[in-house]
Amino acid sequence: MHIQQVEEVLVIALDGELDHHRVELLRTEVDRAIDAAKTSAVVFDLTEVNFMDSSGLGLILGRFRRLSERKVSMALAAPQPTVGRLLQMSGIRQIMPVCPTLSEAIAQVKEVSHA
Amino acid sequence: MPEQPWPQTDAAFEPLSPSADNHVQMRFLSRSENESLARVVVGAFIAPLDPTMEELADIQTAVSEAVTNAILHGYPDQMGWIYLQATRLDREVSIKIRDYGTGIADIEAARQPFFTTRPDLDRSGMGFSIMESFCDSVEIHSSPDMGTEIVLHKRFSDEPVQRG
Repeated sequence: MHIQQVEEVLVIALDGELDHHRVELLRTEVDRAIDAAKTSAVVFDLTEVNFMDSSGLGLILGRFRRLSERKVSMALAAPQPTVGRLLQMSGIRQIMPVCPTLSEAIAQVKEVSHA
Repeated sequence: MPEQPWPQTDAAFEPLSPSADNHVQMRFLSRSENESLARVVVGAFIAPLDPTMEELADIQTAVSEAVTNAILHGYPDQMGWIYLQATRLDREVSIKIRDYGTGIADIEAARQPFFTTRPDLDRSGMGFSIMESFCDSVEIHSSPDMGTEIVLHKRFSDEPVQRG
């Protein structure tokens, strides 16, 4: 996991295989990063995620719920084709933007947080 | 002798169907680190079929869901054995994942999208929906305290296909 602040947007780059085993190790770390940043928008960069199952979806949906309560906007960026397929079938695209590139995702959440 | 944290009794492996072209059986402990082990084994098992990237991801994702269910819901409070059996006949593959744990009280409810008994764990409730989307068919056999058996069936596309 790699974290960077791009202006007011917190970018959390996930990597590897987002299964139940990995998600259990990541969740606290992700929440700590979000809490520490006090940001108005979060993008999860999925460029380096080469596998995801429903546990990965659970991680994303859980963070979305937490961030929505704080009125923080959230988007997903650059999923690989197989991960994109899972996001498509899950219907997650109906509740948050899934952008083909990181820069588009950053632009998207900035627009929402400024609206 | 120190007490072992997992059951010492063992279920018998099932007999091989005489018509199968290939067959693998394994058992592993219900530790979450074994989720990736199960995916790798199934990926290697289907490699001779030269699957597309999509087909490979589909079956590995479905297996991951079934194994995660066995770990989280089959054996929530103790370590147990999970049995994985892969069978191939021509380009049809069946993967059976069996636990001898808690079992499912209401299978029809469990099949519903977003159903979860563990919202406290950030579960998405999408496990069975994903298995059903990514396989041709899914059998679920379960009863309380008898454990759960999930059988994933998938036919792999005929070679040689254009894989641009």
